[in-house]
Amino acid sequence: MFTHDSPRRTATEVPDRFVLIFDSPDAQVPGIAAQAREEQVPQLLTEQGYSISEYFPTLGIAVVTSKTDQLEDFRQRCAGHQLPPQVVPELLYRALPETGAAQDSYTDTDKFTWGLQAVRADLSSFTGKGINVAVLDTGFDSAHPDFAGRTVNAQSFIDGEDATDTHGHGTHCIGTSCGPRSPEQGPGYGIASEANIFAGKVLGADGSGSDSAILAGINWALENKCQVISMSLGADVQTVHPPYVTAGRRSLELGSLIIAAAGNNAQRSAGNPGFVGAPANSPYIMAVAAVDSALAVADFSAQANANEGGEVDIAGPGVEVYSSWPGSQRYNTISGTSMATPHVAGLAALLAQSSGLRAQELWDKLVQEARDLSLPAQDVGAGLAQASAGSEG
Amino acid sequence: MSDSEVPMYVITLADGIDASSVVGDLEAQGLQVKRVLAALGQIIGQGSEQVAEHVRGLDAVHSVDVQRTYKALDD
Repeated sequence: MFTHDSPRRTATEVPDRFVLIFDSPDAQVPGIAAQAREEQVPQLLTEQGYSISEYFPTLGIAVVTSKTDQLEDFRQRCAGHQLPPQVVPELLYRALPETGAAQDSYTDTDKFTWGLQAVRADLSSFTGKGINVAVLDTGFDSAHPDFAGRTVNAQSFIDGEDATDTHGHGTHCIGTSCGPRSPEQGPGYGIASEANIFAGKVLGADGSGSDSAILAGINWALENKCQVISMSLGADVQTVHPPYVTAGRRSLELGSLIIAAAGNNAQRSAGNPGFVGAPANSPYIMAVAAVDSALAVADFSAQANANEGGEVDIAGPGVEVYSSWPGSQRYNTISGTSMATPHVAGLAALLAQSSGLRAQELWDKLVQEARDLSLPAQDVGAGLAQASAGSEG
Repeated sequence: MSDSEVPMYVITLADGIDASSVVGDLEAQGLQVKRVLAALGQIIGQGSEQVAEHVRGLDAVHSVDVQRTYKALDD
């Protein structure tokens, strides 16, 4: 039946306007025959009282004005002819405001951190609303005042510890990916400010954790239909760890994109470019490098390694990043590919909301929309991740 | 050997295998099953290297990997 559960629902929908797709979204299934697209579909549309002025037979796609009950009746008629359409609301897009030439360096202001400005999240009216974002890390300070009223699901996978963040790293990463853009004090520091937060504690109070906890956290995120999974963690090993090949692939199959920190094992100032470690070196997990506020590669940010999956895929702001912190301190400014990763995760949530894209398609779009930094791909991949080009409202 | 010194493994199952359906087979090989990750098709278990070798021989098992440790990546 027709349902409003479309992932696009949270974007700006045009009232009573729908896109009907007479084809299979499954690339493995052949599309409908040309004769059906050219003759049967327009006939069915006309019989239902729909205009065919916005029917595109080559694509097998129609845009119609309709009430929901009329649409359901039409869908049933089409199903009777073995032509069941996929139905999604028509969405309204517009370009982001023109801001002139992209800047080459940024600084924290009263309104926004440098990172939010660099990825253009400050210009996007998308908020990740309706998107489930899992941050698998050291837990979360659920009492932090900047998150009052937010939907937060927290679970610990560390034996003997609850989901409370006594380390700080997890609360910082959640702040960047899903924190507020307009907190009561200080600059906005969060990207997907209305996303549903899933805080999985997979690293203990000492900041370390094992496969057992991390994979359990991924499994939990998948069970909760998280479209984005952010992992600011790693081990300095060049070889791919097989469990994350499977975990990354199965996540993509289930509609989730795992985004992980490339690693901090470089010391570029000393001539050591490092290498992308595990689990970011899984071919099915997006690896994130870090840049500073001048958009130069961070000294610590790991370079691609020669193994399949060892590429750097994209970059995010990762030096002197201001975000939330547990307890009375409330805020902290720290650095790492850990900090770049939740920037990209938050942007993935915005893009998931605005485009309806998921998994591999979401990955591809993030890469496609990245800002070219004129730096080697082995250092920054496609470039600096950017907020979705579309903006609602 | 104390319990904490016994290796922990990630057992990745072959595609299409229901994780809960092979728990008994793994335990029969001597593996102490700790976690069943149904969505991923993986099982976390503890046992000796000999047990791991036996588990590797099962048709339903794709790979058996010794657990690794990771850390938060702030600089």
